[in-house]
Amino acid sequence: MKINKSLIAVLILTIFLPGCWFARGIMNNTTKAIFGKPLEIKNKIKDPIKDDVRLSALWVGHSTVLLQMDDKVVLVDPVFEDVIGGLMLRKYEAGLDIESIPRLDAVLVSHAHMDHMSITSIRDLDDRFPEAALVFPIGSEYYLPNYDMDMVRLNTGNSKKRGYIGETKTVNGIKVTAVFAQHQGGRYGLDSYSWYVPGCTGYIFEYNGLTVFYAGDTGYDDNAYKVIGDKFDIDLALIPIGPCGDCGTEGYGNHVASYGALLMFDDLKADHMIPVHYGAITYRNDPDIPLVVLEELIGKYTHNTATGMQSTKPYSERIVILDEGQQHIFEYKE
Amino acid sequence: MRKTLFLIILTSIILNTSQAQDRTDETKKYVSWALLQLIPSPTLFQDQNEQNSRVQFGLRWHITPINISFNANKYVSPVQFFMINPVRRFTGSVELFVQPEWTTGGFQYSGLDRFGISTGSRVMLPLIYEGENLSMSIGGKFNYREDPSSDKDTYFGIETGLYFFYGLMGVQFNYNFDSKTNYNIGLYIKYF
Repeated sequence: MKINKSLIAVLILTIFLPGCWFARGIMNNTTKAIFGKPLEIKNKIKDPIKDDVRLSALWVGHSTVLLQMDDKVVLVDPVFEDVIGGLMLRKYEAGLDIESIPRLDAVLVSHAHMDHMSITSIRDLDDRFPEAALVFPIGSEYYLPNYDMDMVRLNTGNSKKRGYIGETKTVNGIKVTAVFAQHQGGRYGLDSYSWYVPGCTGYIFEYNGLTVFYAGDTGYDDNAYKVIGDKFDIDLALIPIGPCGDCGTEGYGNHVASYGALLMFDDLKADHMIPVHYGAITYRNDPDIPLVVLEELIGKYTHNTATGMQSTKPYSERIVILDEGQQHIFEYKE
Repeated sequence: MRKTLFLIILTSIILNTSQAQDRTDETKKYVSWALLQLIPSPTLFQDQNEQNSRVQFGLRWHITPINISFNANKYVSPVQFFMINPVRRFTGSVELFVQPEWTTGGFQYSGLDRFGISTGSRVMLPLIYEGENLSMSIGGKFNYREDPSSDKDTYFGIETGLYFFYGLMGVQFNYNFDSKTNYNIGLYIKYF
């Protein structure tokens, strides 16, 4: 009997492909993206910007954070869609509506990956705030269309050779500096992981005596964040804590894990930290696992820190954990 | 030996990762891009004569010698050659294309040659999420396919397409002004 080779190949793929976690993950995500809906955020904040606030942060979800620094408003890594990159249904909807943002001075994009840069969200922001500035690292310009916003490209400082500090520019009165990140540029897979298209960064943004650090997406580096911490007096650090398989480690490659985030927080010597980059997307395990591990670690370190130093204030008083859509107003020095 | 090889590969990955944010690996970029262009897009061609009509399976390759974007930002050129950035393409652009085609079984009823080539131009327009989730094209083309039974080896056609998955995949429909192969419908698979 003549056996059709194509038929055998189809049978093998049918049997084994669903057993492959990667294939299963893609199929699962695609089905959810088409038919699913994210969990609703109830009582979304409608007035995130207030007159008498020095520093506040509203966690929209994943890596999107709206910050108020006195009279300036900054949004980092804007992604407001229910389905990220057309493929991944987020666990919770975005915790803020763009219509609720009354004004905006700068949008900072750390890199062009789908979960950090939505060209549609930026278009919606562009329609509402054409006078704002859109800041991005060199390399990301290839993945952005044209906008009315002032498009500002920064040279990065992603290596020891460059001193971990990149270019500084002042946009709408806010001093923005590109700082070290260990990650990739690109957007469509191969350009990130094989071509190594540049285009990732962290940011320091300073205004009126306030300094905020946003790590972007990054792995832990035991030198870079010490240098940044020595150079800047950081009030608030937005640090990713995932994704991670074993979140009790520094992390792997280009993603910092929960424990690594504490090391980074120590190195930066920041007053406060808000953990980000968890909770929205299912990679291999529950998207909230990094937070569960972080909370365990916070409970473990009471009189010392992850890097072994004596702490004047325990992590529990310095790390602010927000729910999607929740805002924290920092009681702050004048 | 296997251990050494494994260590070499691992070291190379780690080194590459640590430099990932600083520079593009141009060699890998152009070699892998060129290899990816060899991936054909499956296409169905109509094959008919006065008595019979059927559908013939074939393959088509998509080459874009030039694309001009309507939506390029100030840091990049609106004009691109061969390697076309998806964002600049699907957010609105016009392009020239060349499509070599090959049918697996040949055109048995019409007698047309199994090899063909077409060239034309199309306009890309964004539909959903800035075109990243869905964009469309409309265009016209000029086809060359040898017809041993007559002197007429060329014919015109019009085409339209829908593109999804960041414009890297799509479906194209063609109507040709040649009664021997009026219709063809095919996938569009192209990485950059």
